[in-house]
Amino acid sequence: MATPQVKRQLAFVFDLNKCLGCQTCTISCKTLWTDQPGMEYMWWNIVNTMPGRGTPRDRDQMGGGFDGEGHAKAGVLPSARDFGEAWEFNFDEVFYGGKGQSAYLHPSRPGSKGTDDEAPDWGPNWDEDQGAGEYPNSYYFYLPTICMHCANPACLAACPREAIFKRAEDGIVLIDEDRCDGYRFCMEACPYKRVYFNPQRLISQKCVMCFARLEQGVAPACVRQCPGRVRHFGYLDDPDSDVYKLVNVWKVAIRLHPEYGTEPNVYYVPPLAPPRFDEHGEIDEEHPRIPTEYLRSLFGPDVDGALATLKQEMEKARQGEKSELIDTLIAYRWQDMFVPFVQDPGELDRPAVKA
Amino acid sequence: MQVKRTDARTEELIDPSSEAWKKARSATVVLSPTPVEMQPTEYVRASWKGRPYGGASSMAVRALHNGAEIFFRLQWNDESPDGKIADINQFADAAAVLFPLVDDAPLLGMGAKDKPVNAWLWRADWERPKNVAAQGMGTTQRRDDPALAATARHARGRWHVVVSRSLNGKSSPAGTVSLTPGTASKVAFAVWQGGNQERAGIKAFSPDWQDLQIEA
Repeated sequence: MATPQVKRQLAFVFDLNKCLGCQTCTISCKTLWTDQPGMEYMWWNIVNTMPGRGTPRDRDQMGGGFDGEGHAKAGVLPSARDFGEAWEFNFDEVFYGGKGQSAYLHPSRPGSKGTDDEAPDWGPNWDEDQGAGEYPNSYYFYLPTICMHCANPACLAACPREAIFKRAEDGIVLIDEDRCDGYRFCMEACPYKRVYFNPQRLISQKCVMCFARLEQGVAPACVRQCPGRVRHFGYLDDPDSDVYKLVNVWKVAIRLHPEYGTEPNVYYVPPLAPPRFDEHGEIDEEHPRIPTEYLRSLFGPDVDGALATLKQEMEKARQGEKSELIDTLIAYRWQDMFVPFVQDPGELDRPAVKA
Repeated sequence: MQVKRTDARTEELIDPSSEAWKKARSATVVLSPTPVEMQPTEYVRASWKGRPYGGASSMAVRALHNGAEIFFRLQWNDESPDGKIADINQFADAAAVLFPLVDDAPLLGMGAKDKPVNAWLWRADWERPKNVAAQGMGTTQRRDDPALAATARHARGRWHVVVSRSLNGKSSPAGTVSLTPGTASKVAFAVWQGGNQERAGIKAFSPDWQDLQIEA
């Protein structure tokens, strides 16, 4: 299937040097989009600790995407346990059972009776902050993922019902819920594993880039709510947008797993790391704490150039020189990060919210 | 395949183990996997090439009508029934009865443009079968149909399913077949084994239309 043609493409840049792993993006998405029955286990936006197994667990080993010649590759259909089920808690016992002083809150798997042998053994952020390496050279960073709204979406190509489409005006990839028959080939084919199945409605669902907000000039919830100013957003061809500058001009924002062949439109500023300590406990400036080879395995060979530019510009800024790149990444003016989607949603006329 | 007329009541005929079914002659319909190269997307072809599917090799079919409704009793072997979608990587067992709406509608590929076909799709996790209108792969439209009903039972390693509908399909959605006693039509069948993740075009089907003689 030919790559879908679009007039313009909206894109994200996530600066991994600033991500705190606070999951505010995750919760802003959850409360806005996935709070309905059948969506309990869904996290259209998720932040994982890397190195780590990801969400769903071991997603980098699940296949999908395209091979070097652009041919579709088979993928795995994850289970709800792989994603991390929506746990249940013994609220009644602790809050209303008169055992407030003796019982404590503990999670159980959905549908279980809450006994110890049914305790969860996996969750959407189970390996948080574990990372890799040995003290004093242990390391980790946070990796937020959403639907990548790929230029060459594997989900769209896989669907036998043509239920998935890419909007020509902005490149958003959407699932037509009326056409979707719940076959889940899209879930298998997406190499980033960002499509979920709604077992109540028997359809597949995923991030919609908050298209309804965009149409009102409001940035996506995950972008606007990020307290760390991690998320830049805008049109890739708009010279005034941060994404244009970071992706096209400075080339410090690069794709996750470019070898998957889907040409994702979420870009990442790769993480810099402090230097290692050598065996004598001395600082070894030659070797970064996060092995560059590991970063290449995630972001491909372009990571070297991106890190070099970042270091060079940081050094300039340290010397008191002006660095437009560093200023852009610092994001002194919050709204500059998502031009032109700067409308405050609180100032829009909206229908009254039901209590 | 003969569809004999019977005086039996709807409540009897919808029951796969009813004595009423003794009146109908059983036909053995041979099923085989749909060709993998016919699957509509490269992903489906790539992911199912060399992976076994369509293992339901035959179906025992009986059919009766009572002047108002037509009943198909479908029986096929399935050692492990999948009655519901208990996890997001699971699929339910299903079966379909397919009719051409024009004489030369192709069976392979679910009809073609302006050559529609109509399926009555039973799925183990649904309360009622659905009406499916199609004019080629990927064009299928599933609709609820108040005239469709089914009773399903799994016993002794076999599914026993009766699917019924009004003969004329008057209250059914658009693109549905109308059957008339005293005439001949064509019919085909398909089975999906949910436990093997079979869905969409990944199924066992009867590769040729069968004649369907509806007794006056």
